[in-house]
Amino acid sequence: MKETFFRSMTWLHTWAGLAVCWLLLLIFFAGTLSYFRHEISLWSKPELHKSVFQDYDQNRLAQQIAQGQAYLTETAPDATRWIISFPSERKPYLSFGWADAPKKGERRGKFHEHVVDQDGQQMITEIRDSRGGNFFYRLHFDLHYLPVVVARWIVGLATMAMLIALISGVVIHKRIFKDFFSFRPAKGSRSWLDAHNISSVMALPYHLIITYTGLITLMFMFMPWGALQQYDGDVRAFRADLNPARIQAKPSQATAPLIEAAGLIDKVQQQWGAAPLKQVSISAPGRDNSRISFTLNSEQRVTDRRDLLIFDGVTGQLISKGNPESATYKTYDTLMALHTARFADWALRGFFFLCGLLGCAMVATGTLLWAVKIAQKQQKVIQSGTKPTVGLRLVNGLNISFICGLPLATAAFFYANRLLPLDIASRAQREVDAFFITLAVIALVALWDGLRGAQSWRRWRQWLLLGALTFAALPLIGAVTSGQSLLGNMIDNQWTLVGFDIVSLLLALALGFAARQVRQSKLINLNRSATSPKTSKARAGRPATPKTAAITRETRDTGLEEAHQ
Amino acid sequence: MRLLASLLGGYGAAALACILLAQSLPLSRLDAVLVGTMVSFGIFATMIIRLFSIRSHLRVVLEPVALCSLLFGLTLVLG
Repeated sequence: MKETFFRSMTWLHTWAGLAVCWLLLLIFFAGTLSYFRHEISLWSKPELHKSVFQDYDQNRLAQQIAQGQAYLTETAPDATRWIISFPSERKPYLSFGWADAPKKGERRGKFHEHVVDQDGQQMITEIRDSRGGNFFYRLHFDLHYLPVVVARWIVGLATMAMLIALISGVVIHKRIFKDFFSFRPAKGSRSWLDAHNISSVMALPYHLIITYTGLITLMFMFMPWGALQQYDGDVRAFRADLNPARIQAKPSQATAPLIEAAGLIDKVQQQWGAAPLKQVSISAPGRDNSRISFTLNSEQRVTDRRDLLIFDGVTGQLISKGNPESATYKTYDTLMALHTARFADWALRGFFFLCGLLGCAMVATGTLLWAVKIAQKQQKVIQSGTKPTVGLRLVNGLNISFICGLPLATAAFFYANRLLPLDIASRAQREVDAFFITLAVIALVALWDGLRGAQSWRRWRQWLLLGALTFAALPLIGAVTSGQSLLGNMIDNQWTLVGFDIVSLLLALALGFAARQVRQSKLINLNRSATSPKTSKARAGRPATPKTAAITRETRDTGLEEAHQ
Repeated sequence: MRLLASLLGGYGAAALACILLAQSLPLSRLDAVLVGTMVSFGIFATMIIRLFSIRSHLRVVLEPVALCSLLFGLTLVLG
């Protein structure tokens, strides 16, 4: 469309990226936090921070299953499903849960979970209602306040735009290796370009994989045609082939006595030996179509599927051994696993988390680069005292709303989790409200600033500082409200909680550093950034810079500038 | 215009390729569907890149139409 392939790709990169950048930032951010979904959930239930932690114990399985079955028979005889979860690395306690029958208009019933304390006797039943890490997990692909199907299509389109931006980004980045080692700080748009390049290239394999596998996770929703055609529109038959364990019959009306699930443990060990189990799930307890499934704890393998043994709940017959075994299926499974990283231990997930943060940085620096470029173009007008154009003010406002807003809203979510009274109605939803209200407040302030045409860099500093302070204080709030301090958790080996506090402190440091940078170099200050073309020209003229490189850089910049026209 | 062509044309070609692969690959039904669906996203992305790189407006419309017709024809012949 433009004169050269290179220019076309530059244009495509800019607009594919910008069309979805703020949404992408939200998706990236929520997805990054989702790597520690269970850890965040554990943190947000301080009732479980004391005297529940225990290790998996092979010898006590039968006794734990029996205890769970007895407890659930008494507590939730009408549930559609019981789940006995054994202690694991990410959920280090024994719990008995159940799902209510879905109310009218609900796809699934409410899930309850009671936790057994360390000595195996007391039950902890009063656990605060919080969505914890699941909120971010759902936000990542269901967004919020939107019908799920609509939201997933929006996320899918954004993902495709991201894939296009990545591919075209690689194409236009001619000096991909050399630029990787150059960072020219405090030089206006040049610095943002460098930062954008570094955050993109450093984690490029991750970005590509995570974007493509992101599409794969929901691929049968986006691209159902092959499946529909091959299975003559029978979605259920296809799903049964794809994932036999997922298909669940409705509880029948006819009752039949449930066998003792603990008695099946020998059969399970014949199949799996002493491999650790994750949970026992009993569907339709007390009905004649009851099923008892044992799930293997597959944490150390690159798979996203649950290895299951399914027994008939009335006769104790082994019904199904789970998943397809073909190479294609394994490829699919591996791609899914690479996205969810459920297989990874904490260190690898930590690495994914860092890559995710780099992804956030890539998106954020991209939008900031754009804003700075527009500002440069309008520098004369702005310097003569006229307000910047509506477009620029809008971009600036959205930038500050999302880049500062997301961490602050997350902090608000955590504070609400700890500080809201325990007995208010629909408490979990109030926490979510806190997240979105914070985001809205920051957006409104940005709108107010934008209408006044105020310079935004002071506001950036204020929000970043506030973010640093709130995250720095989070361990303190956590300690006060849970009765377990950072030190106490270390002594008790509660490394999940220790990790949460440490990450929160690191985040505070990062935000504080960012706030300091804003003050020092005023990268976002319009006046200062307006001088950067001069400096970059001066640099290009330096004898030390190879001439060809300088020329390439000039072309690339023109390419980018053209894209903004 | 280009956006519309690349979204509709690209998606159409990807969907048709998905069906074609699913029905013609010598694999089990489930496996063929999996391969077809996984590959189709690559085709979608390639189509978008392609349609945003050619200059002629006519070809932006003609290429996806031609490709979709070809794929559709093949699904009929092979199916």
